[in-house]
Order: sequence, then C-alpha cells, then structure tokens
Amino acid sequence: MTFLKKMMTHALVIITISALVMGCARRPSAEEVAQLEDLKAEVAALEREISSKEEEKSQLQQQVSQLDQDLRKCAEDKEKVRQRLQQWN
Amino acid sequence: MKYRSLLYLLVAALFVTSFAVTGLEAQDRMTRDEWQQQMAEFTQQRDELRQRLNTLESEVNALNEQIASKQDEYRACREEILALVGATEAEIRSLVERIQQLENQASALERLSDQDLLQRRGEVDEVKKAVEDIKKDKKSAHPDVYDRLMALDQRVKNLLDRLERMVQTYTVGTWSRDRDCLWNIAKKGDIYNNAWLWPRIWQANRDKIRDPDIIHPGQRLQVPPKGDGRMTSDEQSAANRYYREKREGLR
Repeated sequence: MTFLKKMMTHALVIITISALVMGCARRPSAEEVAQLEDLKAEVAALEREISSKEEEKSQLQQQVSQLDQDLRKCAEDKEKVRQRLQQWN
Repeated sequence: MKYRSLLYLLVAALFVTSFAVTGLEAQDRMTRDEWQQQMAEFTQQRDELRQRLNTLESEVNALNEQIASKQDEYRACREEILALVGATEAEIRSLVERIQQLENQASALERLSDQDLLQRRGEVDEVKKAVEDIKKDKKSAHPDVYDRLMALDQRVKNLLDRLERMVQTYTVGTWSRDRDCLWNIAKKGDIYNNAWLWPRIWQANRDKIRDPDIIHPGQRLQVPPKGDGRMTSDEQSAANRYYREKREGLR
C-alpha cells in the first residue's frame, strides 16, 4: 500500500508537470490571431492595389509619349503649311 | 499489483498523449512572441506599402494633369493650322472625302486596258481638272489634304503619260505631194492599214478637225492605237452621221 501511495503521488506529480508544460506556454488569444490575419489581408490588398496603380502609371506614361510625338508632328505640319502658303503668295 | 499495473499504464498513456498533442499543435499554434514579431513585421510592411501607394497616386494624378495639358496644346496647334488655311474642321473633312472619291476614280482608270483607257480619256481629263481645282484652293495646304492630293496628282500624270505613249502623232503633208486626207492616212501601213478607221483619227482630234473633209498641212494629228481594228460606238456614230449628212447634201 505504501508503495502504491508513493507511485500514485509520483504519477500525480508527473501529470501536473506535464499539464504545466503544455498548458502554461503563453499564446495569443483568438482575437489577436484574427488581428494578425486581418493585417496580412490588408498587406495583400495593398500589394494588389499598388500593382494596379503601377500598370495605370505605365499606360499614362505611354500616353504622354504619344502626345509628345503628336505635338512634334503638329508643329512640323504647321511649319510646312506656312511654307506652302508662302509659295502660294 | 493490479493498482500498480494500472498506474503504470496511466502514466505511459499520459506521456504518449502529451508528446503527440505537443507535436501536432507546434505546427499551427504560434507563441505570443512569434505573434508579436509577425505583427511588427506586417505592420511595418503595411505602412511602407501605404506610403508607396500614396506616392503612386500622386504620380498618376500628375500624369493625368500632364495629359490634359498636352491634349489642350495639341488641339490649339490643330486650330492654328486650320486658321492658317482659312478652313473649318468640317471643310477639311469634306475635302478629304472628295479626294477619296477622286482616288477611287483614278484606281478604276489605272485598272483599264490601254484601249479602254483611251476611250475613257475624258474621265482622266475630268479627274485632272478636279485635282487642279483643289490645288488652287488654299485649304489644300492642310496636312490632312496636301500629301494625298500630291500623290493623286502624280497618279493622274502617270495616266496621262500612259495615254501619251499610246498615241502616235502624224503630221499632215500636202495634198499635192502626200495625198493626205483622213481616209488615206488611216490606210497607211504604219497607221491602221485600214481606211475605214479614219473616224478614229477624226474623233481623237475634234479640237483640230471640225470638218473631217478638211485637214491642213502641218497639222499634228493624234493617232490612237488600232486596238482590235473595230470602231467604237462613238466612232461608228460619228461616221454614220457624216455619211448621212453627205447623202443629204449637208456637207
């Protein structure tokens, strides 16, 4: 009986220590984990938005280049018209 | 004894279970320290991305303003050109449409055989006149018009050159020496070798020959190609009218 008591006491200690090791490590709460997930989602959304804006910026830059070309041609055309009209007169 | 065995079993089961559960949860349950670290990293990343996005939005807005300004500048340039030639946008469009019609006419004439082109020489002259009229208009200096008009002018010149190459010329000699009349000229071997084709020479030279019975020495007559040797309907009509008037004593 004494031996049994001793064994049961040892077991109880072992179980208690195990429980302490498993249960007492600090972990974030469910709300905190959700907060981290929301933050990650926000970062992903920002990355997508930035990608879209960069695409938009690239298209606008092409448009600016095209307009510069059109303006140069228009200026050349204007000068040619002046010269033709001078010959006309 | 029984209790001891049970006890040993209980302890063993507890140890096994605790190791198993710890092994599974270790994969998806972060510690508080890990959570805090990730929160800090993602927060920094989010702030940097927000800043980047703000910068991009400013750049996009600036580009949009630049585009609007350049579009205004371009419109102003086009308006200046219209003012120089004294035209509206609608007038230039109308002129471009007219040139398109003439280009289509020129294309149709270019596709004709030599004989058909010769018969439709009048149409070539019409296109030529239309082009000349447009060239006289100051609006033709507009960039949307000028280059196309010059290209069309060249095509008309090419058609006229082609007609010119087709047509021989014959200088009328004297009656006493050459016995030159339209009948005899058409009969010549190097002309048509066929006197009945004399109306062809007459029709090709209506500006010089009013009466086919009267031609003058020194006249340079255009001699269209013989082709298949048959008169066209116009030539036949002219010949029929001539013979009728002869019979009726009107000539």
